[in-house]
Amino acid sequence: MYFRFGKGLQIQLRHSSKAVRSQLRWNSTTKLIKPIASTQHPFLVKPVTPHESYVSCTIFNEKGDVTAVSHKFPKWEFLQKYGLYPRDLRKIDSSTIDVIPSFVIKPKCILVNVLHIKAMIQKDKVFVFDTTNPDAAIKLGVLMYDLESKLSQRNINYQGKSVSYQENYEHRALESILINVMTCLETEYKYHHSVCGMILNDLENQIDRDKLRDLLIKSKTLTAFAQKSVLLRDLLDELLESDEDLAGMYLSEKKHPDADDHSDLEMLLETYYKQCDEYVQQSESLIQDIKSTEEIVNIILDANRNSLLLFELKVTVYTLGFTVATLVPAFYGMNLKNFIEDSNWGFASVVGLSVAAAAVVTITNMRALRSVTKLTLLNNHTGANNKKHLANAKLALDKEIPTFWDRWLTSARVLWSGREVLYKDGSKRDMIWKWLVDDDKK
Amino acid sequence: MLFIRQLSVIPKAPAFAKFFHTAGLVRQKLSDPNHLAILLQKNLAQRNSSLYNPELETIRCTIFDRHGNMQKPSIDLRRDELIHTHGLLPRDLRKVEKSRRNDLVPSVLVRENSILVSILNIRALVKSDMLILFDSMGIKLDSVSQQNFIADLQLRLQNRSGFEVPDVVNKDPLPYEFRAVESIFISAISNLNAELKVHLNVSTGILQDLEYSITRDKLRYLLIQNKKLSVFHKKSFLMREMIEELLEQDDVLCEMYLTEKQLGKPREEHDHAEIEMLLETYYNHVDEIVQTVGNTMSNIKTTEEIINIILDSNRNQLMLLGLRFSIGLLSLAGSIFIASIYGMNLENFIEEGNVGFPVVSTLGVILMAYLFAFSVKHLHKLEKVQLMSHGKSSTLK
Repeated sequence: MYFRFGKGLQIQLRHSSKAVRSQLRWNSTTKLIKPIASTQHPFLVKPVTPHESYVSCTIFNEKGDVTAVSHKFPKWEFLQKYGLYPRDLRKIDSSTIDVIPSFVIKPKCILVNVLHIKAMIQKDKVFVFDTTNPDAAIKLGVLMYDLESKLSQRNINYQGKSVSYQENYEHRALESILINVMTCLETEYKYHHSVCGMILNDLENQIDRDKLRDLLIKSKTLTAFAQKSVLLRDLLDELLESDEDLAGMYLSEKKHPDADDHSDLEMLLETYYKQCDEYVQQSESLIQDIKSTEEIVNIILDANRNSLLLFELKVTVYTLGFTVATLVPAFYGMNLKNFIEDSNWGFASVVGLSVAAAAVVTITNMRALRSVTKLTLLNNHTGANNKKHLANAKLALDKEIPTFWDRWLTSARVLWSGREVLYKDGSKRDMIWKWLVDDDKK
Repeated sequence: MLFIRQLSVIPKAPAFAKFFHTAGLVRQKLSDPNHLAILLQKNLAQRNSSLYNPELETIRCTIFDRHGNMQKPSIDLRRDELIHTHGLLPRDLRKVEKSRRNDLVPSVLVRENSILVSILNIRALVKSDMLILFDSMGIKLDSVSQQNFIADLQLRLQNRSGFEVPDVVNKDPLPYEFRAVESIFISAISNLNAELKVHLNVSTGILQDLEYSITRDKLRYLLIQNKKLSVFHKKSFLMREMIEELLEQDDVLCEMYLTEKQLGKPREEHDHAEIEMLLETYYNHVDEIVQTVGNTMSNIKTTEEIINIILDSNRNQLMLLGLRFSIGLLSLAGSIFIASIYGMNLENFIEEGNVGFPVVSTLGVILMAYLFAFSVKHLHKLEKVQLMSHGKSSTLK
């Protein structure tokens, strides 16, 4: 009996019991495996509704075949049969919130609860508990395929002869689960990396409030991801530290708790510990990047505000000048007798007077503005009395607030010879850029 | 300042646009849980095929034999061959995968009769009489550092001095595997050093420029540099951690004596002075690098804080000046108001009087003076309160 799966996997259901077959055929609500034409929804573990007195799970036998799909056990019976306590199942049962992953090692089984996977591993059986969360159910579907292929594997053929690095059944199941979890973390990390990296890159080029908000929202999920991976790493680390737990994880060949010989399991866990550590480090560095970007963006915004303020001040200075110029004409504009109405020089002299007053006030105020900016430029730096520093400060000042005279000169120059064009020597820049990049990569 | 300006022309290749495009697609796709699962499955399928069907994939490597001669050209080894002839596990080779090129965490794995080294972009399998260098890691094989590394490796593995001196004197007493490991460490550390130099140069340049004036461009480069530095710091820090961890594990250190294990006389515990000294030397080197980078990073941090203070005080000064101007505007506006009242073309009863103009003008000027004096006094009060907020708080009102 062959079924074709979404990704072209072909799995033979060799030992499917009658019950499974009938379920496959008739029970349309709980499907694990669905025949062809399911490209839209290739993952077919359905979320279950939680029930008080039942545990529902998918069971793999020692050959890696699925013997039951979403099989429901009465909870009490299940607990008694496998020597568990109700508290062991609590996390698996009411799992609306679970952040902290755990491995519970019992004499006859290992209870695994990492991310979306909740499973019980025995020496010849794997129970994967069904989940109530639809997202997790989709991910769990992938695990099913994986477990099936991994558990059914006996040994690897190498050039005709079979080479056995025989791993125990329970370790194969554990590895399969860990691979699934790591791949999940990797996928998630890649997503975060691409999204956050894009926003960070954008922010380098242009600062935008929307982008900043996006970054903050993304950094929240990223922090959650980092926490998840840190917890998982710590769990694996703890497990590796305790010899007793490691010995307890050999279900098919009982090891003495004091036995120190569990290097194969240790190597297995260590590999995934290292991998998890990688994700932790990478996400930490991403978070660090976000933090430094935030800080510097803050500074840039501050600097921007200052230049806005400066511009506003300049506007105020000119407004003040105009107001001064308005004052005298306003007095002469009153409908009162002012004794110069009939003289020929009245108009010219009043206008001249007010313009002169306006010019004096504006120039004085500009000078005040210049001196304030200059003081802040000079006083707050380490090399305050340096010649170089003074020259630099003057340069910056001239750029920010040119003097009246300078302004006249530049505008005259522009009028005379047209606007200056800065020629960009592209090849030279490219060369230097290349040099920097090459050196960087060495 | 010069090179900063030069830097501003970052080549904006079309690849960049493509990246945005794909990233957008990814974001769009990932919003759908089904796509997430498909992505996951794709990744898993790839992973599993490389883990469980090792014969499908080949790895490009360069092999050095017992005498340190490099076999040319580099060959493609099949994964399964590699795994079975060298007694590895499939998962050990994961670090060699192409997708892990940008890994941050370095590792030294000690196996039964081999040492798997993965530091920066060097991935190698060291055995007691052979060294396999995986060069599928995207390093340019003709880059200067790679050539230096290979030359050094050859020289060290051949264990001969370049001069015509009796061999006995110059011969390195260390076994083959340690010479290989040492060579790898030397290459890694010289690479780190080179990178450190570039980072230090660039950061001190930016910081110095920032001393003089704060512009957006410079801050942008500071940001980019900051990110690069933090990645570099992480890289070197993790390498230091790795060496430290290795030094703490006596049994692993003993396991690293591959030649002696091969000869059937494994080392006793605590008897591993050679490798310990070797590792300690490089630990010190890396430690120095880490300290220097940390120092630079804290420099940047301090500069950032100083910049913040400068900007703040600048803003305060500017606002104060702005207030003064506004006060001037206010008082002028007061007298203009009075003038404008009498400017209306309506009956105002004093049009014909001779004293009207001087009286109103004086009134306007007096009002202006009063407003100005009052506001400036108030401003001074506020300034004083700012300087000593306690004790004289009653003056606020």
